[in-house]
Amino acid sequence: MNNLVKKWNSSDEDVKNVVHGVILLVMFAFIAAGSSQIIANVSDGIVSATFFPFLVAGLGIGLSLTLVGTNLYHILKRRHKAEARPKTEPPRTCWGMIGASVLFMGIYFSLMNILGFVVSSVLYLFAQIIVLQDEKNKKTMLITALISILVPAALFIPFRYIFGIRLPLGIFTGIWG
Amino acid sequence: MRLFLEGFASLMSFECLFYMVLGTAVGILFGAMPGMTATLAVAVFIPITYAMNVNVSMGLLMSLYIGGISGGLISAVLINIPGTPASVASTFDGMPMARKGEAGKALGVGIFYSFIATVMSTIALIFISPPLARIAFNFGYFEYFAITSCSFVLVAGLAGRDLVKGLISTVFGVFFSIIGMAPLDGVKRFTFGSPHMAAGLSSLPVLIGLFALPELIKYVSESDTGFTKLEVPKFRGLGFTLKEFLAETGNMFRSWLIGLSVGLIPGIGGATSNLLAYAAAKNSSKHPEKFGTGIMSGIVASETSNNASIGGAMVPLLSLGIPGDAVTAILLGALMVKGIQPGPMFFRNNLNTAYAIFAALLISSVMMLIIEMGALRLFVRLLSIPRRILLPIVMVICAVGAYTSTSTIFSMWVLFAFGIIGYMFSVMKLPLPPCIIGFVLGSDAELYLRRGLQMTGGEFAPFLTSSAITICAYSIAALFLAWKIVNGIRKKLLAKLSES
Repeated sequence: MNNLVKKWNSSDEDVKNVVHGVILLVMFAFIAAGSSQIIANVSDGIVSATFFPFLVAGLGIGLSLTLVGTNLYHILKRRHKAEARPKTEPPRTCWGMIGASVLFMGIYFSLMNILGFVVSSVLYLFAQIIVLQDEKNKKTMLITALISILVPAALFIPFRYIFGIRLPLGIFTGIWG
Repeated sequence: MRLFLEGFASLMSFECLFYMVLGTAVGILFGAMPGMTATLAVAVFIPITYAMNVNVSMGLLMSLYIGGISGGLISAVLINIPGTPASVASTFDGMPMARKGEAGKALGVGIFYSFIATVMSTIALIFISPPLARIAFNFGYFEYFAITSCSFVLVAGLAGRDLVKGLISTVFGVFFSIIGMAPLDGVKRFTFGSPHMAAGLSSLPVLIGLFALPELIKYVSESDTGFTKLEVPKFRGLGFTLKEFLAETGNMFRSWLIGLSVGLIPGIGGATSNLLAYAAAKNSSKHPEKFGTGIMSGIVASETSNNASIGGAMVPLLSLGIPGDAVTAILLGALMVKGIQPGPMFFRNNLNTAYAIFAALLISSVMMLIIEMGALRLFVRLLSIPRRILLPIVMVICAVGAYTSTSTIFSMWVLFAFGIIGYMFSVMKLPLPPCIIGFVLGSDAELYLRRGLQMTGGEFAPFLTSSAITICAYSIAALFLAWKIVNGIRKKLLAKLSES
């Protein structure tokens, strides 16, 4: 898997564009398929509710094909001349950190219904800042905990009592609600 | 004049002035922090405006906009990283000036000319917008569809390097606008049986998701500490003499005109105008070799033009209801939440709001001058806050913003989904502004197209030839596409020639 990621990172821009183009093509094909599932009320041909989605999907397919075609042409032309693009060192990407951060956000939004805004935000902030923190000692933990508690409170109180906007309370609805 | 004074009077409450001071300060801070843009500042503050009256909310959003565009100068001069794309050219002479010990002068010049440009472009906005709206009042479906299509093409071509990718991004944006009920007949499309999806995607979670979440993921993926220790520059007056000011008059007017004109064109704005104005100033200078070595003219050109684009970008928004960039797209959403539809009818139905917006722009520019000059030391300190702390906090604020737009947790999931889509866009190098413009204008474009086709009985020819406006709009779009293609081929040929 790691080798695959490394190979992908170091591959040239045209190859990436071809792969991206194919992915986009598949997505637009799905949109076209979805458009055919729409049940239109009016049967007056061109102006029914399916017309615009089909137009969008058609444009998307055409443009994705153009992206794939032009970049394939560049690759084939270079191969024909037997020249390679100078490879540049790809920037280091911490996929683990990205995965963890996306997971934290997913958990954060899932917990919102159960624990409410304040508690889930405290947990999210603490986890996210700690993960991003290079130095993990007692002092940084304490500062992070303090920030994680103060920020949701500083948001919750004005929204509720000044702007009159109720943020989710989850299981605490009975207490604060 | 009476309307203008009424506009000022509507903002003269403690509440409004408090929010405007806060908005300007936060805007400057967001602008100064690399990766945190004026767009994000405006998006994050939208939920607070729900409980406000329309004039106060516009006061807050305008001050965030102006502060956000102006704040980019601080990091451009002090750390050689433009806080926003609109301040890229400010680094060319800003950092060399700072190295010569003239950081205070560079900042003083930048702040002062940002102020002058904002005031002048607001005056231009006041004179251009109402007559343009009167002309647009006669527009029908054909004209609106033509202008919208032209905007799609211009934004797609100008927002990124690759025209095809720009157009793909626009098509995606238009697709996102299709989700929900169709205009005219209310047919459900791509809702997957969800009642939340049937109402369509709320614009705010989509826009915040596309902008904020990818920023956090990008920061995480680069694993950079984002901590910068900065020195507070010494300040004396504005940092330049009257003689220097008079010598820069020509440069200032030229840069202002470039900024204003670029702002009027959908899709470009301050990010391009500062580079164009810098190039124009260099080309017309008697000493072009001095540019980039730390001279005042470079800062004047960059900062005058980027702030002049603010007034320019507001013109199509207010008079045609067409946002030219991401910030104005969010402002359009904010106005629509208040039940106000910018466009030709805006100056008839909401004249007081229009003048309150003009007044807010002028007051905000004065606030920007005072706050940025007076509290520079504080901004420099705040610029040192590590992004590893700031970005998660911004995420929580964004979650609040998404939630308050519909009062459902579903909006938070929309934010999350579009955050991932936004990151995928950055991985595939698809520019975001075309997607945003496509999303904001997509449903209107469909409405104009379907209504037009109903009128013509399915004939497309009247769309092209019904009036001078449609012919003009499609010609601009076609010429622009041709120019982009020819320019691309020319560049490749030149590169081949230079290789051989």
